[in-house]
Amino acid sequence: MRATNGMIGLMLLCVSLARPFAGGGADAALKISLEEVLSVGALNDEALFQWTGVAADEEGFIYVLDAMDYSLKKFDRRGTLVKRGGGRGQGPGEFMIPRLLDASPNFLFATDQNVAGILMYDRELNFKKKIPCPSLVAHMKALGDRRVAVAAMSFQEPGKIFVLDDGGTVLSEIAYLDDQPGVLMDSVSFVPDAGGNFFLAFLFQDRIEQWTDRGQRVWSTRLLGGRRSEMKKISSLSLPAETVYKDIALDARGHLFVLGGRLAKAPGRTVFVLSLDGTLLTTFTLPDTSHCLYIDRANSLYVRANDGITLKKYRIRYE
Amino acid sequence: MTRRTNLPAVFLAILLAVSAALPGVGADDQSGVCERALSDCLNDPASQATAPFGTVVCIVGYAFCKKYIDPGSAC
Repeated sequence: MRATNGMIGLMLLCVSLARPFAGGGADAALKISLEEVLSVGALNDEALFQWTGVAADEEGFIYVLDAMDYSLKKFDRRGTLVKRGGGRGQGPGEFMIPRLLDASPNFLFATDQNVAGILMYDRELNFKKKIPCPSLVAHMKALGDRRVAVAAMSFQEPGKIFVLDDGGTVLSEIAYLDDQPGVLMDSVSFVPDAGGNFFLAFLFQDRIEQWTDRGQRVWSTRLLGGRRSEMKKISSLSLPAETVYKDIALDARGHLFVLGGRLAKAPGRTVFVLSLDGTLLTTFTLPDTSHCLYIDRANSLYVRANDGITLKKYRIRYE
Repeated sequence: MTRRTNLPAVFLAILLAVSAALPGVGADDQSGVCERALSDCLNDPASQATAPFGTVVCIVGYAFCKKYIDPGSAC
């Protein structure tokens, strides 16, 4: 009897140890599939040319930054263009290289690649103000109508996320580097949760982490065996050449969605799904390559297709 | 805060955007496009004249290029 119990215990132990490696490190219990519910922009129309940033509001309107025509566009829930703002230039509300976009309940927040600030609009695309930032912006998320978090693109102060009020005052900061890993190795995408936590995915490192808003790391995980980006010498600079994680998003069920870069099995298409404690649950593959993931409050997923000519909206199905 | 824009970097970004948007331009065709654009940007007299800001702008453009355009290949 004792021997039988011992054998059963040993078998359970083996099963529990083997579990993280099943299906390539994923929990086979969760499967995610996508159901397309909307496609905006096509090769034969002029709705979108090369969109870069997307956000959606609670009424179902979709806002898109388009780098090719320097615009901020508003689409209704059926994908019909209802308004166009922005424009090329360096005046108020204009863009030279529009990049990032996010929405709070009443405002939109956008970035221009070479501008150390955030452009704030109302939902009718009227420019409201520019929020000054300590440096160029690598990533940005709205934390409400009056607060925004930015990952700084700075060589003087690398590896910091700043929480700013709408006047540009730094309310808090998270320093997420342990060392000085080299130029661009601090590049991250991040997503906040309602509890004041930040989840970071490194662009050129195999690192996904949770940090509190007080600057304490909760966990850190690597999904690709700790592989590092190949470094290339360009002029006098040594820079990472291979992206690892391109973006991170949080769904309504408390899962982290992390978009894999060049080191993933399907670059720009593999999505790693993690629990909030950093455990890999499953992976799935997008139909087309994307540079970003955006999940709205209704739990719809927005990604790129046709190299930015098309925006796809999917319903996330959990099995 | 004053807006400052490096024109060569802007043109490079637009060039990259156009190349990425062209139908039929596959991963192989774009291999090294971000590296070449960065090299051109760093060697541009306008970038050098506005260093170190011009250098930062070039590197920022490279990072966004890697994220937005570089398709990579399966390993």
